[in-house]
Amino acid sequence: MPASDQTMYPMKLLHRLFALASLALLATTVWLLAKDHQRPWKQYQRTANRLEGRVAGWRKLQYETGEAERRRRQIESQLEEARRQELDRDRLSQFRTQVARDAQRRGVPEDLTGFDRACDQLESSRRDKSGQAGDSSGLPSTLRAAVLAQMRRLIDDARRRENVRADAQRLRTADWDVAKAEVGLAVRSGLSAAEIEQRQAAADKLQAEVAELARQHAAAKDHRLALDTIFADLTARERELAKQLADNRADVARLEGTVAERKSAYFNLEHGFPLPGKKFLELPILDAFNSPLRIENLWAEGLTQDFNFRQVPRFDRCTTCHTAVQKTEPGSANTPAYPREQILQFTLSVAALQSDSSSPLEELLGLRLAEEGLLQANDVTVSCVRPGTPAAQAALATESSVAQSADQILLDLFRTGDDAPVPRVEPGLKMGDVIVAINGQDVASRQQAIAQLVTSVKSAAGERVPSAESAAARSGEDEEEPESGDRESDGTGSAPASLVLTVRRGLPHPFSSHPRLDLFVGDLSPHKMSEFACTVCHEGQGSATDFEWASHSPNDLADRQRWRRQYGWFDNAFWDYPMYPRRFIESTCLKCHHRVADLRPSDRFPEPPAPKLLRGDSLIRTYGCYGCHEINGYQDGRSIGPDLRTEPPDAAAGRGLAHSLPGQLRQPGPSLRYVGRKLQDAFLHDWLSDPQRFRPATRMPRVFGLWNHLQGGSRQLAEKYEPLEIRGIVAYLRDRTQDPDPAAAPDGISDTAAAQKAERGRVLFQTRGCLACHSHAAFADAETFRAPDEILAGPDLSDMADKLTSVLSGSPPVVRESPDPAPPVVRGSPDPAPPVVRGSPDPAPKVTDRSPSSGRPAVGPSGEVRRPAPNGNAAPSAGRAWLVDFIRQPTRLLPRTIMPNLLLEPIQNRDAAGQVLSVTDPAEDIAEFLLQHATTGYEAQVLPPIDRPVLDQLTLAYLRGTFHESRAQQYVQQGIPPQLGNTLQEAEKELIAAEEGGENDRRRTGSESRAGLSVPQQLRYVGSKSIAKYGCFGCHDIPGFETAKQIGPTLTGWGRKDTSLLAFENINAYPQSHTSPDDPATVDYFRQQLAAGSRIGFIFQKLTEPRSYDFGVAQNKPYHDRLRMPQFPFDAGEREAIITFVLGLVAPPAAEKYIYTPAPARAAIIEGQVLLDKYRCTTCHLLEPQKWQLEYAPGAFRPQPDKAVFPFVDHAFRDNELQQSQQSDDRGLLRAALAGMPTLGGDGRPLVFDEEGDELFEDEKYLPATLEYPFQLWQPAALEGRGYQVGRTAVNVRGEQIVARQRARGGSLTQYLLPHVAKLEKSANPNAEGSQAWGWLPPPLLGEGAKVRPEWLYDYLLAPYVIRPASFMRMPKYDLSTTEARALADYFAALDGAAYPYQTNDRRDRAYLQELEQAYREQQKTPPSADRAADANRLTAAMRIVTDKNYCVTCHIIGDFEPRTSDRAKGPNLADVYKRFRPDYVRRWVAEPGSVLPYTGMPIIIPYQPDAPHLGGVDQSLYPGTSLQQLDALVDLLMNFDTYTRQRAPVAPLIEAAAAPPSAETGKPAPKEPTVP
Amino acid sequence: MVPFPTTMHSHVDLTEFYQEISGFLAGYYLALAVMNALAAVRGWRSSGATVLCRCGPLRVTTVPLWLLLAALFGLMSAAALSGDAALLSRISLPESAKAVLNCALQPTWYMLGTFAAILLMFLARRFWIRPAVAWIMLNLGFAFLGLSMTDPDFARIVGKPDNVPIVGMLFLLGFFTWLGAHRAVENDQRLARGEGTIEQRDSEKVLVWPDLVYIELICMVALTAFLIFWSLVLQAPLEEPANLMNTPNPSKAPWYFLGLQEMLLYFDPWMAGVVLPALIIFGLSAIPYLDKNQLGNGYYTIRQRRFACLVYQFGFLALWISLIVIGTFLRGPNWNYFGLYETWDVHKTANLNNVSLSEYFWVWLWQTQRPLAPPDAGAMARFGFILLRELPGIVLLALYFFMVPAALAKGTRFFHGLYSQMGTARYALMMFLLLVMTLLPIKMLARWTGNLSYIVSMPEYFLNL
Repeated sequence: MPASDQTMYPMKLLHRLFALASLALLATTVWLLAKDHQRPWKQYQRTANRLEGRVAGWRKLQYETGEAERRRRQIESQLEEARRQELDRDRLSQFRTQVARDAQRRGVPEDLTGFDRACDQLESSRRDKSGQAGDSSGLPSTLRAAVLAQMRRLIDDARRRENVRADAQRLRTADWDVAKAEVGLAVRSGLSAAEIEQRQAAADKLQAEVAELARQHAAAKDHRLALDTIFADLTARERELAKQLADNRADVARLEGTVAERKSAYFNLEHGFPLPGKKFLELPILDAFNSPLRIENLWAEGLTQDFNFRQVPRFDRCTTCHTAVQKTEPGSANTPAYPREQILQFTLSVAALQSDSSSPLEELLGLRLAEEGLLQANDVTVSCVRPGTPAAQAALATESSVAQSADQILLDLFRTGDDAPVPRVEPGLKMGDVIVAINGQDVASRQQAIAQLVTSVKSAAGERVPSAESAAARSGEDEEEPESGDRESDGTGSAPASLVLTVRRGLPHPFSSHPRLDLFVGDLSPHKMSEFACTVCHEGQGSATDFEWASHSPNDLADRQRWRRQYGWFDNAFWDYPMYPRRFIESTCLKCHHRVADLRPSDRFPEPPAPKLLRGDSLIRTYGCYGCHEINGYQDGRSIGPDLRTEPPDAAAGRGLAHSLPGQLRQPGPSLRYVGRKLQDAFLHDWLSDPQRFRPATRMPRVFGLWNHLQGGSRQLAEKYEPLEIRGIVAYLRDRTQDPDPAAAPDGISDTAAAQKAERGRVLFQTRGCLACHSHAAFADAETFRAPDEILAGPDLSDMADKLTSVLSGSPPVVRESPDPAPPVVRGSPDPAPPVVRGSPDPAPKVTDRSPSSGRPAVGPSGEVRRPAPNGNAAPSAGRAWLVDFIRQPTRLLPRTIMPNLLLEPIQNRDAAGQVLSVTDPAEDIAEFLLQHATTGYEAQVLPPIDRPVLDQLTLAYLRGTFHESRAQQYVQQGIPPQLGNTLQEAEKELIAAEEGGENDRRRTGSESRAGLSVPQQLRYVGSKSIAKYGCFGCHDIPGFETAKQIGPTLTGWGRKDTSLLAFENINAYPQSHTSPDDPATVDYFRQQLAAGSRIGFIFQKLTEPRSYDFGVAQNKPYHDRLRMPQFPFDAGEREAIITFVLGLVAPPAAEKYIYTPAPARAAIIEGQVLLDKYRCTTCHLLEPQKWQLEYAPGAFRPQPDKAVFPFVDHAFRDNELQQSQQSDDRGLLRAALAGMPTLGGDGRPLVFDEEGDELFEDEKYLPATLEYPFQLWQPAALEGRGYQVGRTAVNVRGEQIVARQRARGGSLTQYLLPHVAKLEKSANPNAEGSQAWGWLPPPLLGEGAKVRPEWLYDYLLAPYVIRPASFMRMPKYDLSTTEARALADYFAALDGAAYPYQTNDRRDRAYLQELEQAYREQQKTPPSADRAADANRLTAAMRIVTDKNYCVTCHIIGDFEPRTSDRAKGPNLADVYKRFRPDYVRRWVAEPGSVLPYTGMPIIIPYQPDAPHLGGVDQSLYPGTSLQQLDALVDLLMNFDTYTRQRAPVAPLIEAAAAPPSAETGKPAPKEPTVP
Repeated sequence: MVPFPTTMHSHVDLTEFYQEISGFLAGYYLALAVMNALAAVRGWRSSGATVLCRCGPLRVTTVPLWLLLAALFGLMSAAALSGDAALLSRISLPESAKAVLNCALQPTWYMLGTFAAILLMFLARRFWIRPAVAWIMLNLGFAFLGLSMTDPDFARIVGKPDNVPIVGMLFLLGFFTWLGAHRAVENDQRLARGEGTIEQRDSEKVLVWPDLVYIELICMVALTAFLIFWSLVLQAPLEEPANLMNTPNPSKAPWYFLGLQEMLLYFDPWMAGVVLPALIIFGLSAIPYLDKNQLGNGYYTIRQRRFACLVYQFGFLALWISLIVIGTFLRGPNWNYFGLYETWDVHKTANLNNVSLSEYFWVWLWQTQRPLAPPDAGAMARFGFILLRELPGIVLLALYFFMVPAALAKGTRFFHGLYSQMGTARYALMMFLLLVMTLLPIKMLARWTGNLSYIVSMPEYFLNL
């Protein structure tokens, strides 16, 4: 075809299409660029930048209005003044002389005319000045400056000359070096001696020249230095001030720099002409070149994430949006610069203001409002607050205190307060606060806020606002809305005395800083951002830069909704590690902190780092989750997580496991080895059916009767089978109950009436420490002393009588043979189609029958109920016997019980003359008390009859698992043939049919059985199977199940378990019947999680309704395959805590080097804390006193009266410590922290005085803030720049001064007992002083490590003995392992920083003793003893102090000597002191007991009086020497008591006596104790 | 695009789902409304719109119909925008229809339905190639998609970023199939009238510029714009990091291999993975040598190449494409069959106890043991026994491959014609290829209906058919 211009398609259309396509391409490209330009992270960075700049500007404003500005002006004026200061004439002339002398030395005349002229002018002007009296304005600065300039010129000259000399010296030295080298070369080349000589001569010449030049240089330098010094002296003050000023300016410059740096504009006008600004670099395409907006990458080396095929390093970009995460407040290391948003209410007291000023806010309140808010432009934001103004002093509004009864107040002193210091909000408004409401009225705009504030202030100050007009005129710029202000003042009528501002402080995400910079992110924190980055704790997709792709996890449904709306958030199931929601964030601590205990609050981090996780840990320990679920902390010998495993049944065997460490935990439930001895079948049956029926607070979970999720046939099956399973377990336990040897009762116990016994038992129960682990209705008041979430180790013992001695009531159980048309008790319908067709019409010869016609009604048909122990029911008295036995020696039969041996030895009651009146057995008394207590009306339910066909069905159901159906059916009817015995498993052996005439089997099967199996046999079989199925052995020690495997799935690594491995089954169809009192929002959150198929949802439902996953599934499962997790009585908080813990089990953990491995001392402390918890030491022993935070006006406290004490006793305060206590805040208040306890009154309760100074009256009510609390310091404190020592007068604290009270750590039982023992003692001894009650109770263990020797503590913990007879309680004997005892001893030493495990005891050093002995003898010789011949032996003299009847022996037991005082006044045995204590402690203790234990009753033995002869001390007749010498001698004696007494108990005579005829046996060795002089 | 729930266990919150889908649906229906409005405008302006009926002088064209549709879609768009559950349920497919569809998409019905549809398409081609009908079908297709999108299960499958292009491709496929048929039918009509084909009419040479290069340029620009647009609105379908221990369920091949993956269910891997694909390629390249029909070169026609058309459409649409559709949309976790509106529940279990033909024959029909070589038999004897065991299948296959071509050539005029035209060798080869192709659906149907695992099953020699 010929070419033509004809085109096939219309060109116009093509052009249009091309235009359209091009436009589309342009549009999409622009869209692409715009989308990139508007990436959310860029927006956040822009906002953050703006915000940072603005805050810096405000900070500068604050700086300028504040103290700093004043200071700057002050420095400037001072500098000005300094510049006109007199110049010292002497120094000037010195200067002149120095110059002249130098010139002379050099021989060159120096031009001093300029200097002289300046000096003369100065002098003349000075003379003029002095003529005019009263003018003290100093020198004319120009003249002075001229002089100084001249001096500087001369100094410069001198320096120049010095430099010339230095250069000359350097050059010449180089020449010399060459000459020296020449000599060396000559020697090497073997030149002639003459040549060498010549060269050497040249070198020597040069050396001399160099020396000369060096001398000149030194002289010049000296000269210049001398001039410099004079000059510096003259201008010292100026220079210092100038430096201060420069510092000051640098601060401002830095802030200005920040403002400038953060400013993002296209043009910078600051330098007068427009320079291109940084904003250009933010433009598309240009932003490729060093844009200020950029993605931040954090690399965490070693902390990788698992991408299945390889470990990939993390790189976190979180800080791209969370820009301020690391920012601290200026001048603070840990306070976040931008806290999370919170609403605060402040009260400004404005009544005292005279509001005559016209410029409103700044004058009236001291605050300035910014033109624009930080994030929202119309936020009313405070931009600067002037110090000392009402705004700066605004107090945080708190609820007004309520009058409380005296009892309440006294109780509160011991038990209230927070466990840990709550981060307190500092008083005063701050820059950046957004005012939300004024006096409760919302604020809309800045103008309105100003108007409102001004009018409120004025009306508050008592000034009527005459009219809107004048108000507007006065308030200056705020004319717009005067009405609102008016309405305000009118509306309130009587003007409020103060102004209430509701303020929003902080910023929302992502602009806020990390809330715990002390722990995380901060450069001083243990988890620095540079090392740890973010996702290793938070998880989530760290490399994402968009909100929705970072896998943020909402904390609740509200968050979720908001996020979906705001960010298009969705649940990205493709990221394997989504962030932890905030409520579970503590989970991740477990990754590295495997010990958990290391997450407790410590001195370094007093705010608890992970309270929820700790709670979860303790819940799992106390509820014994580890009984069924393995929580193994080790994998191939490497620690991978917390280790919660039960100790092996035989602890010693566990130690033999070479490669894996054995478990450490004891079983949470009691041993059931002897349960048949104490409990009756009816009780056991009832308890198993529903433990909470008998004891609502029990920790035992409910195993049976959880049928909510079952429907129809599957429910009927459960209702039918479960009662039989319970019966089976009871039968099994009874059968396997072991029969122990009866314990020997102590001899010689006096017979007393039961009531008396019970009364004694009551006192013993209270005072011997039972309440540490148990509660009892008779001592309900003890409960208030426990921590709110404390879980007791032992059960409530109020109803022991019901438990142990209730007798079965009702009819004996019946066995039903066939499906009864009228079933008597069994719930559920008569089974419609029993799965087992029993022998059809075969009327099997059933021996057991339920008809009374059998004529043997006495013996129960099953022969199980009325059988005597051990195979029958325990007799009621057996329970009592068991109880007494157990109380007396808990570990005798149950070595692994957690109950300690209380060492209840028989008590001898003596009369005044010391005659034994009676002997009582405390164990029996306590048992009597427990059993006598009135019953709560509990009655065990009647045992339901046994439905034989159902029992057969159940037996068959279990047998099916082992045998084929037909075989199983046969066995159910006839039993298993005995010859199969060896091939059977343990449980099936129960079903071995009775052999004809077999004696043993008859016992086992019971006498009354039908041809095949007996009912008890079947029951035992069912019981054994049920125990295995429900895993009862996880918590209890059950015979026959010692080595059974845990039944639950392992929890190790559960936090990462693949959700496809979780059996959600039909849970989303399950109608959630669980109506909990939980917060509905929380429940909704978890339900949502469940619907979304997450781990969190799964475990929540598992803990709430453990078996609900069987919903709609159970009917298709074999009965024994149904879910079996029991229901624990958890509340919402506990559930969350447990979830937190379990989610944290994410083996394998992070890289090895990140796993927390504390320093040895810290590790010892952590280990010790675990043990303290395990053995509940802190219930009795106080470990840390209360800590009170005070705020007080200066002059509130009187200084402590001076007291002469040994110089080493008083705590030496450091200067900065004292200075700090003097610094007042903006309100003029001082701060202090006191550690100690409230002073005890005579009744053992805290002393509190009302405003009149009287003690509180029982029936009256008081306002706690108005009272006065004498506070006994247990640790020295600084108040108002004065040091307050321990053991002097109490500090009287007024209620309003207390800001926070932190509860004492430990000793809750002791604190509860204080008034009780005081009362008890007073009833026996009216003169007893209740204020000493601390001494009658378990000792506080403050400073225990610095006090006792670790090896003694170790021994003592393993075998405690009575140290202080004064104590009501005795240290029980715990079943500690040696490792544990060692760990505890180390703990105390490490806690106090004392030396361990090695320590020296200088005072037992022989050389030391001999030296002092020698000195003592010398001293006795030189001034001949005036009074009486002193003992030659120093220790013997010291012993005189001990044995003097006025001193030690009045109270202390020494060796075999026991003073005749009441027990309460008896002191510990002094013969043991050398074993127990570290010598320094003893010295301090004897010198000033009150400074160690402020509550002690021990007096000062050796008084110290610096003015008296011999510095005070005891009488010289006892020990000649100064008080210090006496003290040391006494301490030496005590520390060497064993050697000292040994010297006085010679053994040789004994041997001689032994060698003598046998009649000499009566010869006693010499008395150990030296006789009292 | 809205992110759809992705986890296996997740229980969809309908309110949330509606909120997410409503925006998309509103835009979708709006686009449909605009599309129909444009069609109406075009019909009005060109005055060449199809006349539906005549009422005297008034000619009712399709324009009001398109307007009506536009209005309807506009209303649906508004309803969708509300995000209200009640309103959205109005513009959803009723549950009963979903149930019917789920049932109809069961494999057997789906397969047979596809065959029937192909046949119907062939027979009724003159009807549906009309633009108005095609436009209505397109509208129906879009409406079906929109009405189904309110079902979370459907939305999850169709809205997966992976599957969106496949949905688009189905529409493209429809369009091109229609276009081809349209031109073929027109050509057929023209040839019947004695006129030349369209291709002959238009067989002019065109200019490289602007007719070729300009259009290519426009296409390039438009496609670039489209790809950028796509990348902006639809996130790349990235999933979790690969994990050997935890592979995705279902694990799907790329869409173009899904037909092969489906075939793997019915044949031995080496059969489905090696032999059959090789045969496909071989067959496709053999077509020019087998085809003796001179007609239909260089222009669209159906009438002149009925057999070729039918066979090709059967092989391409009914087998290849529908297998891809099955693999993409109807295969869920554990490679189970799921209806379009069925939740992908991992717990769904299918009866996988398949029985081989020999077992059917010997055990079920013959009531005896399958022949088994005695333990001490030699290799040859073993082989003999195995052959004996598989004899029914072998006989059946032999009959299928040898008797069917012969019977067809003898019995039917058409095949006889073919035979005489092509000669024995060509005919045999063609029939072999054809029979292998038809064996695939036969085998699939036998599996679905009769649990037949293999016709000839000799696992001893890794030979399963």
